[in-house]
Amino acid sequence: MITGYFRESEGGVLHDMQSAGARALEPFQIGAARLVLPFRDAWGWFDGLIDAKSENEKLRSQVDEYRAALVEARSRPGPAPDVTDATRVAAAPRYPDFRLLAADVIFDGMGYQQQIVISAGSRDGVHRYDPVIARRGKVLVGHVSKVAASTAVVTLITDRSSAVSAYVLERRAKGSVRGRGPQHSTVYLDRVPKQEVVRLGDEVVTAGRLSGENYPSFYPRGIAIGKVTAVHQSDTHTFKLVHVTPYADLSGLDRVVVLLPRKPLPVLP
Amino acid sequence: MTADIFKSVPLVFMAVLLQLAVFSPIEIAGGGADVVLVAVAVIALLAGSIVGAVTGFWAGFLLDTATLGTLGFSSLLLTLVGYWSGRYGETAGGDRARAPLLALAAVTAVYALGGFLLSFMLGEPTSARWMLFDTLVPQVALNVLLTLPVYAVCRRLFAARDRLRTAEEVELLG
Repeated sequence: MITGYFRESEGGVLHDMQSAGARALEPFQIGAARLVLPFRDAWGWFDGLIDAKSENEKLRSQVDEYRAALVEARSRPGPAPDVTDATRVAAAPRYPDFRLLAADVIFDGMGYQQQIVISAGSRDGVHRYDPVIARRGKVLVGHVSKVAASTAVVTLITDRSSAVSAYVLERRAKGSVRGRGPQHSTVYLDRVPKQEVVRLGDEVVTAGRLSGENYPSFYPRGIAIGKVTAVHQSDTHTFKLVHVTPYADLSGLDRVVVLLPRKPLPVLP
Repeated sequence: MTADIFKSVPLVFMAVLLQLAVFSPIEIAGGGADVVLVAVAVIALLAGSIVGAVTGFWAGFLLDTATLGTLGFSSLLLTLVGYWSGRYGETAGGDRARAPLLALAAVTAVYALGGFLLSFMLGEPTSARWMLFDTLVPQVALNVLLTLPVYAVCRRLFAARDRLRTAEEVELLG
């Protein structure tokens, strides 16, 4: 069975059988997931209490930083911002080239491969490599790596096979965010040249191409990925090694949003 | 035997749903409990190697289908787990009180090793350190803990065969 599954294409008999089986199991999985959701929330609540105090301090210091930045921005000389334009920008869709599709997480895997299964598949318009963001905070979670009729596998950004083109928002230093596997809670921002300046606390976002360009990217530009928590460089390494802590709480996902491209994307070999 | 297989079908189905919805997301001390593995091993201990192997295959098939994993991966491992546990129950471990706990501890370690080797041979990303050292000890402990309630439930379902086995032994001695 394993040999047959490996050798056949994604439209093969065993794949079709698996897809049909997953479709039949999906209602049971959704039902079970919703049934245990209050208990999972309770577990998460108690689990969160353990480091609530330190997190509270961190959030307070962040609020102070943002307040200082706001005061500084407001105190700068120049014309007052156009309120009408600001409203229009706020009301405009954030990802104009993508449709947003919400889906339940029906399996939150514990294996070495950092993957989850969601309750949306090819019938809903989901394709391989579609980006997936968290429902809360709209921060990057991963990408779709396998699609069945009514379910799909999402590879998280912490998986070792994941690589996302990204840049440091404050400095414009570009690199590639790579997962490190289940042992680590951070991801690497790799391929950042040594001459670039990256500081702790800098924000890392996706570097997808801007809307309207000839060759669209799998990821839209500007999805928040995480915050820089460590920066290393040595004489022997060609690039900086930047540690990024993802914003998304990847261990407690219950619902995600899939970004479905409106235009056809480039086909990978 | 056929009756045992039919009894194990809904039990395994429930175990798979529980595993996917409840146990998979919960991580304690770096590892997680595997109720499907526990259920297959316990059913095999109580009902024999053939029922264990069939139950293991069915459980693995359900798991691989629900998680869109490589079809046959879990089936192969759980079939072996079911068969081995069944043989242990039929031979050495049948009359020992601690047999389920011992079997589950051994089976969890063998299952992790088998999973690592199979992933390695299939070219899937894996890590020996993570699978055999970082997560194995808590996983063995949690699976052994889980064995007690699962064994209590399964023993009620497969009790008839237990009695039959005792009768067979009496016949053989006579």
